Amino acid sequence: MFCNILLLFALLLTTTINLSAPAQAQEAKPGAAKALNPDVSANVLGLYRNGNRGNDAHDEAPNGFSLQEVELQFSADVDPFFRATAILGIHREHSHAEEHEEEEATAAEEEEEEEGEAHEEHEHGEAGYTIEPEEAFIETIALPVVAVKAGKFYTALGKHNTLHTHAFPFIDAPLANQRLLGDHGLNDVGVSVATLLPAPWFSELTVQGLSGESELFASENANEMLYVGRFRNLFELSDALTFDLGVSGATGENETNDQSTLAGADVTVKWRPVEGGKYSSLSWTTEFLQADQGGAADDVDGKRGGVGSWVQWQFAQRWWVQARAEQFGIPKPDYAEVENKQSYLIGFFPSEFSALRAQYDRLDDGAGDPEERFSLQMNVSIGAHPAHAY
Amino acid sequence: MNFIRPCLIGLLLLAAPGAQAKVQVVASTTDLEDLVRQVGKDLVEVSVIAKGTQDPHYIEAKPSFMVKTSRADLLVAVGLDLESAWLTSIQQGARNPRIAAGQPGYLEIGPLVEPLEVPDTKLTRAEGDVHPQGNPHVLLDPKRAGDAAVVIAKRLGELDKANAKHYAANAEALRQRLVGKLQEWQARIDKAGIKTVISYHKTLNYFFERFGIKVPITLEPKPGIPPSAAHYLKVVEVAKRDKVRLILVENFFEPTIADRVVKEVPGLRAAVVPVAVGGGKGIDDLESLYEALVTTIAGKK
Repeated sequence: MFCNILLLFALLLTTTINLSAPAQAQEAKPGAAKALNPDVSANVLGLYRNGNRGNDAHDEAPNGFSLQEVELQFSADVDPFFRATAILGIHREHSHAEEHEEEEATAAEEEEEEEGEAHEEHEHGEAGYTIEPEEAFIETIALPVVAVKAGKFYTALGKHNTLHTHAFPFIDAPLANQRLLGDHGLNDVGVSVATLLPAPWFSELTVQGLSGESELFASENANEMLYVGRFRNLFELSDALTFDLGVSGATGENETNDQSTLAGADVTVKWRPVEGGKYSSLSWTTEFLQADQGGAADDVDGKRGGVGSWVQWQFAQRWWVQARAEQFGIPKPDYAEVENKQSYLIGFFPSEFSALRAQYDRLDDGAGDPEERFSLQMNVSIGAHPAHAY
Repeated sequence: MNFIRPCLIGLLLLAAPGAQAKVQVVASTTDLEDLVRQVGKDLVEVSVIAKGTQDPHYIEAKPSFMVKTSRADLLVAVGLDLESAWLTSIQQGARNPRIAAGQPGYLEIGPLVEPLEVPDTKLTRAEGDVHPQGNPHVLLDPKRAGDAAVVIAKRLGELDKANAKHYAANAEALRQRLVGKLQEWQARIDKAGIKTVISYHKTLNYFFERFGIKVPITLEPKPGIPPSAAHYLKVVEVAKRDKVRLILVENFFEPTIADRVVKEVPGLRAAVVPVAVGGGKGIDDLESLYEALVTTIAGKK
């Protein structure tokens, strides 16, 4: 897996060099050549955590300091027809526990001895970091009405799923996204067509055909594809107020040769006054996400879902307070407990390029005492970083 | 993939530009909207993204702006990174190749009207929100605004050749009217004896430069960074040292710090001013904006 990633990274780098080399050769002045370099930026997310369940260093979210993620972003127009973006994420290797289990299973079959040993080293060695292409895609810039995207990207399943870690409204992803889509969200390789419908308001239909690499859609048959669709409508109620409504769905074959589906709905209301808009704004988002896994084992809930609702209030130029309430367990699960989570965040933004955010979470998952956690995140952006989506 | 092709063709047909009587223009700011309106008169239809009461550096790229821009023949922007935080995503979201960067349907005014404060050293964001290509608030200078009108007329004439003469004539008339006013405005400012002004941000520097007004310090310590206690003391010190008589606060900023400085410095007054068309009552075009600024500086309300 890691070799594949390295290969892709190398390919990406060489592609960039090959594309820019002839352009640079044509330019006499060094300054002009520099102007053709891609926009480069880095987002660095530093984290401190302290909670009643993070005492094991091998835990998924251990207490203490950690480097949550580094995101390196490159983007530029390729030519008059395409724009290319590559975003590489560097983070701790995830879920040691899972790897350990896998290792035991494979060891029992006496297969992949070498990999087993490699894992062993990790267990006792220092924290490993991996670099992964979070997104690497081209987009059309010369087509009217439609935007076609090809490559690896965050699929249009819901609102939160398309966000990078540094742009998350809270330090962590919503519960439903974590439980249903995993650490990396629904991220896949394929083609996306997003069409602006001829309406007086913003009405966009996105259809995506993907390879289906994620756990929920990991079909044994390589010909099986994952399809994702999203229909988003945004109404500008006044110059200060917008109402954003989205529905999305995904369907594809899973590893039991059965069909898995995902359904999502999201509503966002945003307010920023036309006068004094630098100093106050309010945003309220509610997102619902549900998975229906066909052919699920007898002791597992095939249908699982959750909802989260969060309010973000900017009360001064550089200050935000936020609250989030979530429930995972819709419909009520037969084989698991309903989870309830509350989060509160206060954020200080010295400038638009840096933020210091403190978050408190309380998760009641029915397994003993509720989990309580305090997190402090430093979130900075350097370089030429593109604007975030509204 | 079979289903995509018929969809695509259908949508392409829908999007084909019909026979529109008027040139459809989207302007990034209200100042540009006013210029386009005065140059194009009833030959163009113009809409705007940033409001006159909003800080043009921090506009949100609302998808509703993409809808506006998707139908435009021409997108006029200031450039010089004024709109860099939002205009690119509006352009991309608009899915309108006519107004993409590098196309005749996209015009950046700033670089064409001799920007000031172009840094010649290596930039660092430790200096705040720096603009590598110069101060973008070019339209606060009446003379540059006149030049910008001529630039807009030229581009409109290229897109709508039949009416090129009308655009050129309208722009020239506007340019001459603005230039013709310069002397009167200068005389009123001179009569008031205002030689130094403190502003919140470097928004008014082109206006000040045109009328020979010096800006010893701004209320914000660095572009985009709100005033700190230490900087407040420095402003008071500079205001006393240079015998500054006027603080102008652009009306999208919080003016309380100016009021506090005024209390410390004898002979100093502060005023909140509009710095864009639509930024206040009766500020319906650039001429009334300059008129309001001159009136405030001259001290007659």
